[in-house]
Amino acid sequence: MTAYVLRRILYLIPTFFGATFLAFLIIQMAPGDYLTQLELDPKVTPETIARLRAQFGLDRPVYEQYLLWMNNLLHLNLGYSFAYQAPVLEVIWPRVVNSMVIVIPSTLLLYLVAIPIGVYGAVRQYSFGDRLLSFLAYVGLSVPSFFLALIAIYVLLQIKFRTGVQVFPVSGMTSSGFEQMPPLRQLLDIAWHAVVPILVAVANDIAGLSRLMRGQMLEVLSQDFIRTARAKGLSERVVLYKHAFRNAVIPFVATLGGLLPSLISGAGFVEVVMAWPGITPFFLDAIANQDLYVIAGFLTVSLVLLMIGNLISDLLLAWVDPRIRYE
Amino acid sequence: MERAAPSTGLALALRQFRRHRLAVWGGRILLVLYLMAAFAGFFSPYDPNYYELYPPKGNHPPTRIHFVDPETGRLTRPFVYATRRTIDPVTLQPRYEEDPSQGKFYIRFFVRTPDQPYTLFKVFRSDLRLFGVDAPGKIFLMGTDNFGRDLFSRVVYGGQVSLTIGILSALVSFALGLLLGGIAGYFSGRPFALSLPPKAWRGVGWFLGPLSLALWLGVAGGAVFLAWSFARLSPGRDALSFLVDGVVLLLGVGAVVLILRRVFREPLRIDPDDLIMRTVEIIAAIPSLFLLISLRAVFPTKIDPLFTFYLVVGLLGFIGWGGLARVVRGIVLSVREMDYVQAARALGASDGRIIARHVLPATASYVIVSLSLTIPGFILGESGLSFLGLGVTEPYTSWGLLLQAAQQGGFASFTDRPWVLWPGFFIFLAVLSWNFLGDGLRDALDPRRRR
Repeated sequence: MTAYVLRRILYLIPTFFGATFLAFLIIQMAPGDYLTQLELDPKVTPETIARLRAQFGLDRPVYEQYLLWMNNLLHLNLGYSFAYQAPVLEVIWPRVVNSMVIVIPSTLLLYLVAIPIGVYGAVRQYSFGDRLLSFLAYVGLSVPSFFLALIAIYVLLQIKFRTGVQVFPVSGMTSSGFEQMPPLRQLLDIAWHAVVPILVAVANDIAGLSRLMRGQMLEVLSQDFIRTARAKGLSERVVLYKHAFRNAVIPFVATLGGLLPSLISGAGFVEVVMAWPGITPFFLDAIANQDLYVIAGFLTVSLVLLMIGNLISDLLLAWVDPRIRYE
Repeated sequence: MERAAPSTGLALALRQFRRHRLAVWGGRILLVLYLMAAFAGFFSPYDPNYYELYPPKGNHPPTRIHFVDPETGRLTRPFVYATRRTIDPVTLQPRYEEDPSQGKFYIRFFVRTPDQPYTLFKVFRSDLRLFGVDAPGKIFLMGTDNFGRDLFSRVVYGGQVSLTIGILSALVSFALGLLLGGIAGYFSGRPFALSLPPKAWRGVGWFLGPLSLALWLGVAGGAVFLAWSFARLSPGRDALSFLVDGVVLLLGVGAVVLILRRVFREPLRIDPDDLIMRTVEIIAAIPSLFLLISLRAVFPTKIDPLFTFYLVVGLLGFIGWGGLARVVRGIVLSVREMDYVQAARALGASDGRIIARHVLPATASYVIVSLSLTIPGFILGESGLSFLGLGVTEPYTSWGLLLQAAQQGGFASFTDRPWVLWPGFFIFLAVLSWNFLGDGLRDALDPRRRR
């Protein structure tokens, strides 16, 4: 086992260098750099541009920039954001925290809702409830998240116009006058703003996860040991939850590690449509500005988390499923 | 009397497919959508880029279709009224009111619009349209955009892009996934020799040998150079920095020693399985939305629209091939060890024949099913990219791009004009239908799921 873990970690090293290099290369391949837009400004002299470019290290060859950046990375320094004039970590971190306000509750909700739905669908296969839930799952799977967000906004605004009651806010993370609120009110205010983005973010994923759970559960229920368990007179409850369910969730343990990078990679389009100050709109801005080290830094952090997450997944899997052996 | 059970696998699959009612409906809806996209000119009442400068029709709501004649109170042929534009004094937004004084404009079918011809499949010129009304009446089934272009016509034309991009990107990613996954699986454990030691220089080897030697010496030189540059550029002068520099230098020297020791004695071998699967891992390691956006940023935003179209196809395909390659590799790995493949090999069949006759057919049903299940993902991907303004550009249009109009101009843009949300329903419908179709195909082609 130890040998396996060590080998996995060793394998991570080339992947890490490969992916960071790929990320760096992609960003560098984009035409121009951060200062290209500044060059269009007639008030900025070419000398200033040249000085800034030297200061940012943008005048060096690409491989030198990469090595320099990698050198800093090994010192746990993600570099410096051009646009914000601050270290990358300081710039990214608040955005990641904002995103987590949506991502963590929606992930919890996802597992709390999707797994019971999947189990229900398998136990009552082809019943009315199963058919309805399956259909809804497909609907959820097929709605683009930005479209769902737009519809949510439309419905909420219509309710507001018709009745004058603002059920949930449709954009942003805080109300006006947020600064003057006492801390508890601030917390409630953010939670109030987060409800709709959380629900929208979870809608797509529930479908996929519950379908998977249903399939797994059906697979397990059709196996011989379930028949044996029933034949020896165990109650249906024990058969379902002690024998079937425990085996059916094993593959999902493998997905737990994948949650780690998704914690920081944000809720995606929902953040863009609902003007949530999370990581996705921020990343889009960074790309538009060609804020090199912000992009590279962010990709690197999510990369590292992904690799750690995969490792954790494998270890968890070996731990819950004694049939899996690594030699 | 019950019919005799169909004997062929295809007939069996077809019968199973028909039993999946949602899948059949998905197929029908897709047929309609694709027909509409293919004959877009016929189904759309107006040219998608046509608008009138005067009187302007920007942000016109959907035209109301009347079935009851207000004078007689009886049912009549459906007709519309022309509209009159006024500017709301408070919001300064245009408002349109029906103007019965200009008379009724009956909806006519198979009308000709000589001023707005179209071409089908880039070949056939025509101006026949399924329905329309006489000028100056206008029929906007789904309203107009801010220029006054008919949204329904634009949705029909947008389908051309949205629906084909899904299929094209799926094909690209499948070509890549099948090829690379197949190579990885089939040649796993049979590494390719990438160099020739001097003692094996015979025949062609006199040419390839020195070439490979030079290549590997170049790689070794590059490693040393990079390691040295790393140490040279090191900004810190503390113990940790020296430690890191030392480790990197050591790694560089180690790589050189390894290469030099191997390259003169025996061929350097690289397992294509390792190489390809590592690449898949690297691509999968970057969050796909961000990878997609970063890759899109490599190309300038304002480029030839047709090129942008193919770019989006290529990018989506490039993002998607990894997972497929992994599965194909798994299938090929297991098929390779099957007795019948071993028998074919024992009979002297070549690699090419084994791949074509035995390995590829084994992956066919999986490929068909996952093709139909990945297409909706690509349609969603394209619409998302276009929604962010990074996908297809004018004069092409797609459902995602049309939906972007809802986002522009703040919330007022779609509380006042909810009809801008229409394209979203088309995305939803297409993706849902593909999902059902794929599900039906999976049930039909997988014997274990039959019921």
